[in-house]
Amino acid sequence: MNSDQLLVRLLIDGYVVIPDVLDADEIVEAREAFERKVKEHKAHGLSWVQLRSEESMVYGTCHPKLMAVIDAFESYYDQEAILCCHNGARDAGVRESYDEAEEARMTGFSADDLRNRAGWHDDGTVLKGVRDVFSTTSVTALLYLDPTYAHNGAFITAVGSHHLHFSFGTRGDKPYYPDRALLLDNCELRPVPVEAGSAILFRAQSWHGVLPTHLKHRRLLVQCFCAKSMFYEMHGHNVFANEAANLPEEKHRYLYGEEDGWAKQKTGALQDILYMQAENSSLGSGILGISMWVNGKKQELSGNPKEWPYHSPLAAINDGWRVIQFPNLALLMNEENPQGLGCEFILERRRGE
Amino acid sequence: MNTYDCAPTLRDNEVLEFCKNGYLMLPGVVPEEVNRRAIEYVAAQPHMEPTEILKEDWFHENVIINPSAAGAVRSLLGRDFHLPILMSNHRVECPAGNQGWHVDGNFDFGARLPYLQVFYYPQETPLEFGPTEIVPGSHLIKNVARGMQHYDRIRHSRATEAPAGSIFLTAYQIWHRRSKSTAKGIRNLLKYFYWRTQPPKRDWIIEPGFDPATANYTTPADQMGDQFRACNRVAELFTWLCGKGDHFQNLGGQSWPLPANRLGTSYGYPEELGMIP
Repeated sequence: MNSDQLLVRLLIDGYVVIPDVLDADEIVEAREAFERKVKEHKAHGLSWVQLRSEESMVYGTCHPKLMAVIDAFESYYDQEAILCCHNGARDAGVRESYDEAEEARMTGFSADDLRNRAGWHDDGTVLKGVRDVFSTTSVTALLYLDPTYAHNGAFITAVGSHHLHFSFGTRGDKPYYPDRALLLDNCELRPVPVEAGSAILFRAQSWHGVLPTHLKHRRLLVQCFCAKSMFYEMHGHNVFANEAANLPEEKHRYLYGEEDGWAKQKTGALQDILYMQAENSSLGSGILGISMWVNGKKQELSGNPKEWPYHSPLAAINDGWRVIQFPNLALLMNEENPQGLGCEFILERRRGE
Repeated sequence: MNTYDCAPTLRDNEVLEFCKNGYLMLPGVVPEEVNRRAIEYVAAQPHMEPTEILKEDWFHENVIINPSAAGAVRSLLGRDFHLPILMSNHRVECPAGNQGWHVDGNFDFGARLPYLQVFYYPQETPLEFGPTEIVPGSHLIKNVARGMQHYDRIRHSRATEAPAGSIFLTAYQIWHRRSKSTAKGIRNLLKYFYWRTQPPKRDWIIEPGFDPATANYTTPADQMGDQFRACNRVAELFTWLCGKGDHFQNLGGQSWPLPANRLGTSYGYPEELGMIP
């Protein structure tokens, strides 16, 4: 399949397998690099920082065969792809406790096993606090250094389950989380075995899990991609940024850096705040005072109230601001002794929305 | 006690206006020569508290007991008011950003006037030099400095831009801040304090025809709280200044001191205040 065909499957099924991302020699080099780092760090799960000195790990990161599909996927949503989180590489095999006889006894999984032993979840829910529109445009790439099997250690997905994960409203803020049992009852639960060197791309909203394994090795690189315009949603999560020095120039387009506002991302300054001190508690009330913080800076507003950007909280809401605090009515009850400046509404706007 | 007395200069309506707005501007009342000397003095003593300037006769006579200013202070604080004991200079190198809104510490938001905070601009202070910005009527609305730092633009706020030699009196607890300046240079703003030593009394200039029973007590602060509450506070403060604070009453609804076109006398107006024609 070409990248367009792969994209179609990703859009429809919620996942797609990209075969032969790495050739045989590249697989061997990647495995050797991984094992060197396992020995060095005495761990089977290695972070990007631990791996980035290895050429083969850099090679597998934002690999052109992955990016051909991921770029097409983001373009489908009129977005640009960005590597937002690099989870390094890990070996989920049993390694030293490997028992060939035990593996040979694995004959497969029953329907109940598929439902109950795979650890079903979707990544949009796991990433607490992100908006649904972020999950919709996010993709994870699993690049395997070892083969997996339907009866032993395969990735498993509820085919098409991302279609059940949609938003109400117009701004993509209220994700609908489908009932787990309903979803597993109605989607095909499909194991996705792969050859070494292949990759699975799956959407953040696609329900998935991993089947139990007795494989000696199940080594894979894990990379997460999102729309560049929504990278800020990752604030507070483990993000991949400012790594241009550790990747070749042709991959820099997938990296978020200072020029994109990373310093502001780190400080969380991308939440714009609007204070409005209103004459009364109505959203349509006129306002007595206003102050606005955008991109971490207090805005210089005119001293002439006629030139203020909004003349009521409702006008601000209609321009995309969201109320995060309504006036505290308890403060208004002591009318003999008025305090403070009016009924204060606090609104927020997150850049990129 | 370091007190002073002089003839009051404010009339009934001017005292009432102070009660409503919380400030009184006296533009250009200090002679130019004194302004020049004051600027030279604070240039040589560029710290924030050039209190020694209070010992200078030329400053004392032309600023501290300036006839216009002292007469206004006498009107509001009564006879033998206490003179300043400390001089602050809000000296700013312009251009500079605006300050956060604040009320100065150790305030009293009660309906009384035991002291006054006074400011003196020795130099012309247009908007470009970041004059103090105040919210008229805000002396009637309780607030605390640490809860105001997120305020920025406030409707009806007013910049006190003024010619050289201007003095303005404020109710201490009025909300204020230094406004943004855009010009280059030094802005000086001297700030000092007078205290009342005598019980309040209506001993300012009685204005023929002024009737507290029908006077209009509405204030810019009416927009900042529930209807008529600030208006009531103005009447209470004015009554207190008349020395009749114990007799202030509010019988509710449409009674005095609400602004209204009533039949007959102002129902609820306390007889103890007298002065009804």
